[in-house]
Amino acid sequence: MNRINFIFTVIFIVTSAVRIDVYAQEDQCFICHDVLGDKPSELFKNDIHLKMKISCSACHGGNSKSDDMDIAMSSKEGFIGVPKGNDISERCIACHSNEEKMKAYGSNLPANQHELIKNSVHWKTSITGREHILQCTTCHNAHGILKVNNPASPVHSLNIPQTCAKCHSDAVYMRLYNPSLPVDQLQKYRTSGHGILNSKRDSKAADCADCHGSHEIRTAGDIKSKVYPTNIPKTCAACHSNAEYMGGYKIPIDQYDKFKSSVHGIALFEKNDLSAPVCNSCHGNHGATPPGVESISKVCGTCHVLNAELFSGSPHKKAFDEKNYPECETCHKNHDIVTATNALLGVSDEAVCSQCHSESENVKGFKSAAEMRSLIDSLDQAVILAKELINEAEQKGMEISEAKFRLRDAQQAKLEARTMVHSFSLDKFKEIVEGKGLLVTSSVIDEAKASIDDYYFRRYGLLISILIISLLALALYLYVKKIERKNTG
Amino acid sequence: MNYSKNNFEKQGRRNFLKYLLTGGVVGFTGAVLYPLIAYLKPPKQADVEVSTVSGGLLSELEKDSGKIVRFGNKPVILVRTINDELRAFEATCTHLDCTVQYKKEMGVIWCACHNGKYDLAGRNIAGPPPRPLQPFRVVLKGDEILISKQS
Repeated sequence: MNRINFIFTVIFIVTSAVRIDVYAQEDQCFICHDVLGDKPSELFKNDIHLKMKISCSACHGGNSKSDDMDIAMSSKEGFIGVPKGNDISERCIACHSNEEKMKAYGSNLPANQHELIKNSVHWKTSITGREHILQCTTCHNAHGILKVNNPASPVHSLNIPQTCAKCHSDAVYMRLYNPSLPVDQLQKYRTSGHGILNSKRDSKAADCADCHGSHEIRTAGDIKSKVYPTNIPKTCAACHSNAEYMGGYKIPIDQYDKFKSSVHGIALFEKNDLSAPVCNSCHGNHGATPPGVESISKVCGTCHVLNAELFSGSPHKKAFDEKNYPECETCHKNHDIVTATNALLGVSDEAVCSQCHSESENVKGFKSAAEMRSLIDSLDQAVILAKELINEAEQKGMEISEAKFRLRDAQQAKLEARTMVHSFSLDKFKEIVEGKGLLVTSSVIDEAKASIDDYYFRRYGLLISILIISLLALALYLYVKKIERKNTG
Repeated sequence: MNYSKNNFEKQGRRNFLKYLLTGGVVGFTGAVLYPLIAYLKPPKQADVEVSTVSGGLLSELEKDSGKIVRFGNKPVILVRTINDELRAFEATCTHLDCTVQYKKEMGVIWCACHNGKYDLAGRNIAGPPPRPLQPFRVVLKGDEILISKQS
């Protein structure tokens, strides 16, 4: 059986070679240009199109059957020479957008590249105003076009970064199109986890096209772009959540699921808050790499500035550095960061402080954490009570808007206190909770209570005056009766 | 004896009626007068829909400073810029509803809760705020600053 297979394979290879040779002899364009030894024909020898029996005339026009140059390259025979501008891509589109034609050549390539590229920034934008910013040949080459999976192809994963960089790292060229666009993407990419793997010839590592798309490349501000903020997590997850694909890399694949349910994921996906951080906000984009222990607080601190500043000035900074703990992540986790509640603070089992502080170890912190928790809980309770009393007073029709307005300060004190936790200073924390929050809540509670008392005073007052008036009416009635009796008697 | 007993009962009823009548008149006078007197010191009234509030006098607001003005149930921040322009915005941070303030040394509107920053056009420029501050209209009537909702 193996022997038969071998014989068939040999026959197939020999006949294929003979067929290409015979075809090449028939293609008079190629024969002449090959003899001339020009660069296009040299490159064309390896071109996938030559292997598919597609002649030079398919793009350049003319009669490839004639060995008479005057006839073969006459305008009468449709010779157009070197296509210029958008004509270059039109030549490619003529076949590559025609599904039947592509099938006839035995190709299983999709026939929608033109449809896709029509939406791309490269197609829609022009520097000269006469032609697209790039043509198919800009990325795929003109002669010597190879299959995408051929490692020598400029659009093979290993070569894509260099191919894109031809334009994108050229500051002079890019200035013509968008002067504010950075030109250091390749430089950054080479420092990234993806770029390092790419340099080691790992074609599974993400290249430009994996994140930006290949034909349908849209600007980052385009809502349909793969790198638009709301789309980035899914773009990264396409590889990073794929267990099979990530098999050999020994990194978790649950980041997307965790992020989706995190406070940042909810802000992005449910509230459509574009300022919410996505993968590249913490990991970088072109230079994507996990932030190290030292840089985590800097990464979080780009948005949570005050928390990061307070932490840096706190006694925990030194302790965390010594133990090599990642600063924010130790208490808040990384991908599955949930909304911080009071439960994180204190010495209960679910509180993060108790991970290091206990009654026997790091006692000072243990006591501070317990007191901080008790203070913030008191403020919470006071705010709840104040709100209830204000609601009650409002329901009773009392004017309490002034106190309600002041209650905002207590709410603010709560938020400030939560930030101040990161100073890990009990005094500073107390100053906000007691000096600001509880002070306001106590005056609001007093005012609301007085307002409710006032309501009851008015109500009982009305009742008493009705009684008095009724009594007076009764006395008057009796008195009138008495006078009548006296007069009649 | 019967006469004096009846006389005593009659006298008692008459006095009771007198007391009742006098008490009733006094109580009635009190019930009428108290609201009248209380009216002179009126209770707090609920704000009607506020469309314009006074931001105080221009002469009392220094250049490069700001202050919080109550606009109905909302705080509004009034800023007199270093270039002597008056700007007003809703003073509620778009992040978590804290009240923002003018930070002279930074020249920005700043939120103390999470270090959110807005420029003097109300645009969120740093920190967690997701949206700009809602602007209010400011006009001068003589020396008085008037703040109103933008139509």
